[in-house]
Amino acid sequence: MKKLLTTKRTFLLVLFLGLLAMTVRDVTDPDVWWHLKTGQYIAEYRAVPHTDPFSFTRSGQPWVAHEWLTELLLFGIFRAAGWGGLILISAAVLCAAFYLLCLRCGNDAFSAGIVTLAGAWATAPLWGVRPQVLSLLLTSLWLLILERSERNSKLLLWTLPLTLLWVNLHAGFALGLALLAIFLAGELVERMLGFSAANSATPRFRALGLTLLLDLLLVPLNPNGARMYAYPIETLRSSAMQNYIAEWASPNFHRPEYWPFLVLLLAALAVLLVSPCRTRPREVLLLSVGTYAALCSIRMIPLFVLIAVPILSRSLNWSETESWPRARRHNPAWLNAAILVAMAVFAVVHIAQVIRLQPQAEARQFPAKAVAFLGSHPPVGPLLNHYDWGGYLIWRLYPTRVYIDGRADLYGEGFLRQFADAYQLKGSWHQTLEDWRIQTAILPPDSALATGLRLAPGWNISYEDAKAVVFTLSPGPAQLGSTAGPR
Amino acid sequence: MRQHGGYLGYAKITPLGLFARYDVVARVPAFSCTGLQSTRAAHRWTKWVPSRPAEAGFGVVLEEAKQVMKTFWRLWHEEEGQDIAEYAVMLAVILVIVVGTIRLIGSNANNVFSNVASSIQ
Repeated sequence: MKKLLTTKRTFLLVLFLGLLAMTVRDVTDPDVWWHLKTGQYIAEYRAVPHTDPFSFTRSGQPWVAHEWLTELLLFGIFRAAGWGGLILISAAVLCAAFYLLCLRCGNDAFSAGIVTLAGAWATAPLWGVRPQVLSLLLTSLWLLILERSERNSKLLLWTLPLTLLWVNLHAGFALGLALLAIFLAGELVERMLGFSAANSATPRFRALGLTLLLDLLLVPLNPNGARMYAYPIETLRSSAMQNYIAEWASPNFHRPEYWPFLVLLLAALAVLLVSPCRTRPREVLLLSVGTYAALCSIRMIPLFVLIAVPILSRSLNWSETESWPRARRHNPAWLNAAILVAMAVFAVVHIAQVIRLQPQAEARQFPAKAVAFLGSHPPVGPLLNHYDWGGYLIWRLYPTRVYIDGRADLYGEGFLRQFADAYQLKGSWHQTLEDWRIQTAILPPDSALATGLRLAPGWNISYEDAKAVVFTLSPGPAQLGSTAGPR
Repeated sequence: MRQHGGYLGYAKITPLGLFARYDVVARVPAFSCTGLQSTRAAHRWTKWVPSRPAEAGFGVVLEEAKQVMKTFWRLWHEEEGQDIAEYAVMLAVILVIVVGTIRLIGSNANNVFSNVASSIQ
């Protein structure tokens, strides 16, 4: 018992139990609902959809369901274990990603643990039940493999099955390939600058190059085929995403949730400037790319964290820089056990509470009662909805089709701008509703469009509560017998 | 900065509320000792010396800061100090986790529509 519960082990167990409690989040992501419905669709039809089955505005148009395997998994877990299963497994995936990060942070458990916790906190705005958490785990594993492959190049072979899995789980697989390319470029730069001898660098360079080539060849092995080469680049370059979707925007440092990232960023810069530890050109290259990506988009903060935290840890790791003989240690096992039990109780109580309160969280975030009303009074014509509620409506009301949902890549820049203008009562907002022959609208009560519809002739309120208001258009000659579709 | 000689600096608040610096000079090689006994031995040989004059400037402050860091370093690496420091770190981490777990609820930046100026109260 005394040997088992050393202070170091207790610290790590406490840290990861705590991280498990921290990463447990209620399901409030607006996309999780359409992910679940897509998973259900794939399970029922035993086929991956290639055209949009959920909206009337993009009905029948090509749709890249790049997360099909994750969606199937999410639906499987939901069917087997409900929200509790989804919440717990997502938290466990995040913890596994941070554990792999901790493994890259050197031998001193305490400094590694502290910087891992700081890094984890910086990624907190992106936690939740969502496919991105799998990409975070795989990126963490990928970086571990790439770093350790310096000592054992056979480890690079593991990237092949990982690529195959990742390309079917999430479009974030492109991150892995990009990191491999940066490692390759780093090798080249280090060789040019004389950091590594030419004869030792060549086999490494060849191994990385060959692995990148093989990984690239594996990309088309997914239901969307070679389309997945272009899809991640199109998504990254989409101005619609960056302009209208919160997490694709740059982090706003006026908001406290991004302060941990800011602190980490400044610490990484300070380390580069003043640390006596020599930072390798490859690490500088990785850090530059990670910093640029994270400053461009909130979604890329985890990439920066996975790159910066091990560099920071190495700089703080006193036991590696100055070897000091560790004396015989007092390990009061009873104290360690008590701390561990207390942390476990805290984690279990918190996790149980989050799972228990999931229905309230759902009602707080989504228009549960208004959707129940629409379920019992199905809309007679095309339904206009708020972007954030599209996924929820798909989950609750399908086969009723929505106007818009979280698949911004499907809708594109023009359509998103049209929706934003209508939603904010800009320009010819009324024309947009007429063009799509909108008969019913479900909107937040304080939205500009809801205020506009309250004053517009012909629109009546069918249902209203604190979360949502449902408008219905009175039948008139212009709307009678019309079908959905832009005029 | 001396590598040997157990040179420890600290600050003390005088009755006038001013910082007066004192130096503790130990005559044993403090940074080569690993155990508590050696530390005690160091204390036996300790004597008080007056502080450096205030006009010594920033260099003195830097020197003192380095000594403080060395003290922490010793605290971290000596047997009892290690235990105390490790439990202090563990306590700090637990506090951060507990505060974080409670405060982080509901602060996600998800795939939501950026609705700047989209509401009329």
